[in-house]
Amino acid sequence: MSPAIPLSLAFEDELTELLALKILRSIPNEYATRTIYNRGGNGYLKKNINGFNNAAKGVPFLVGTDLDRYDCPPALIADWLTHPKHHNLLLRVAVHEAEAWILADREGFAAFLGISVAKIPEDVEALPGPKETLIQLARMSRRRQLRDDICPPLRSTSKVGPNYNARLGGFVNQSWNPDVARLKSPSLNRTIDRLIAFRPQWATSD
Amino acid sequence: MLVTRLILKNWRNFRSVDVELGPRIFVAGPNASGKSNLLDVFVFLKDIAKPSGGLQNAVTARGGISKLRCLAARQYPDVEIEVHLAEDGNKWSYAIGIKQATRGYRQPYLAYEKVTKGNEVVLNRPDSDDSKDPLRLTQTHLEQINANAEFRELVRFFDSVSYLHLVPQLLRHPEAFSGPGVPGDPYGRSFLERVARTSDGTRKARLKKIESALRIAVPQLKELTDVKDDTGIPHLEAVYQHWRPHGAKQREDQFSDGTLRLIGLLWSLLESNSMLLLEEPELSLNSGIVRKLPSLMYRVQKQKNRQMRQIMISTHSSDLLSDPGIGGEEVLLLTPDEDGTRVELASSISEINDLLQGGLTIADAALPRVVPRNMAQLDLFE
Repeated sequence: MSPAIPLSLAFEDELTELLALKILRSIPNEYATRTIYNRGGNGYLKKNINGFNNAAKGVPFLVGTDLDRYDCPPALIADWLTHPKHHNLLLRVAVHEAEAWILADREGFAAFLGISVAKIPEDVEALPGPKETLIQLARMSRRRQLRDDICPPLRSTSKVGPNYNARLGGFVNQSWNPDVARLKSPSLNRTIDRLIAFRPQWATSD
Repeated sequence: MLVTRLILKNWRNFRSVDVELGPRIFVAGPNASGKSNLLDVFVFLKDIAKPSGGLQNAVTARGGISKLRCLAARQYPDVEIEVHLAEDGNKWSYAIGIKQATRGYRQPYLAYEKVTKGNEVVLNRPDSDDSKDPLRLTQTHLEQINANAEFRELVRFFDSVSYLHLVPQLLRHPEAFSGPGVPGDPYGRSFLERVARTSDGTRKARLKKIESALRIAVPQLKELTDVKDDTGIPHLEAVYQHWRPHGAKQREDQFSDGTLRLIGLLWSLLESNSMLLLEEPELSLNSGIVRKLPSLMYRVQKQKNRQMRQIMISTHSSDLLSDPGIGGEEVLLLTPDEDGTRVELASSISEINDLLQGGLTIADAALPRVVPRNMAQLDLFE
């Protein structure tokens, strides 16, 4: 067996980080996670992406971001990177937010909320706002504690509930199944394929 | 004098440390990684060197050797400290190893004590006198005036190290906390007295400097001076600008926590020119000001013909470390693992250097390494 591939990760939010760690645990390739860069907030990755690209020559980087206002991933890459993308920089662009990947494990998520699988949309990547859909679904849950954690209180200006990340993070850690979810989410499928196929390139001179 | 290198064995959290130090050092690490214990090395040496100090006192004040020794220490139980210093081309080093007696009062005693100046060995114990009278090894020569003449400079340096962890409540209400103060007054209880004891000219010059530096942080504060009230108790006073044309005079008990801390901090930078240990200067300050703190501190200290104080700052603040003027060689990263805490210069890690080269700040490049790792599992305590 080949030795584990070192990999540093960079994300803008906690949930994407947990999803990525779960994916890395689920695939046969062995990755040794080095450092996780995650400061949260819009613009963090864009500001630092060239640094990650530069560091990728020493340690491969997996960077996960949303498509945001860009039409397609190449446009985003062209706009963000000042230098050519290093082979070891894996820039994974989820078409929408991480929540789409969570919803893609329909059976798992339905069981978590205690609702019928039929309530969860089939084509999660076509959803205009997966986060809003997820919260609407959580409102249907009969588990009070879960509703209180995930859904924002009525009349609150907050978009998510007070324990949103931890509660969903717990689901991702314990029950979310990437092998089921990838069947419903092409972007997740591509990401997993890429991670399985990836072989780092090391500088030959010096 | 500048500490240029620090080597530790079995000191508190650290089983083995060997790092180079520059004039400004930022110490970053998760909670309980040993930031304060690292700063405490220099306070320990101060406690040995100061009048009324000494090895026995310094060790007892810390709860004995068993509290000092690193929990990860195994076969090799001695606690060792080695400090390299430089001043005007002169190179010094001071090294001690400390053991604990295995019987009796289990007193700490010296395994060795060494001083070098340049290439010359000034002191090398145990010597023949020590072997005739082993009790001598319970005291260092650092604490003995009649034995340290040849390295008095070192003694003076260690003695003048200061440690600061200002508590605004103590600054503001020193009378409310009676009882003997903590030696060295690290929390600022007698700060105002110290200001008042300073000679007039010096005090005015310092307060003026601080006032001009403070303008960025607290723009409505003007004319920082000190006055004595009718009973002779010293107070800081400043004019707060508001809608009335002349503003209003306020005393330190009306200053905000942040203002008080800033004043104390900036004052201590000007107080002497030996090493200053600062704990979390970012506390109770607005993040915009914290961001400016490194350059503010630099500006206050910058003077003609004056050596800057060497500053060692422990911090949790990514705002503080996002100052682009901070280099990787100025940041010590503390990472706890089973073998005690590792201490590394950020610039010694190639990934960090690559990131810095790619334009990241030290906060973005280095701090992710010292985030407590299992944060993502905080949901598990339900």
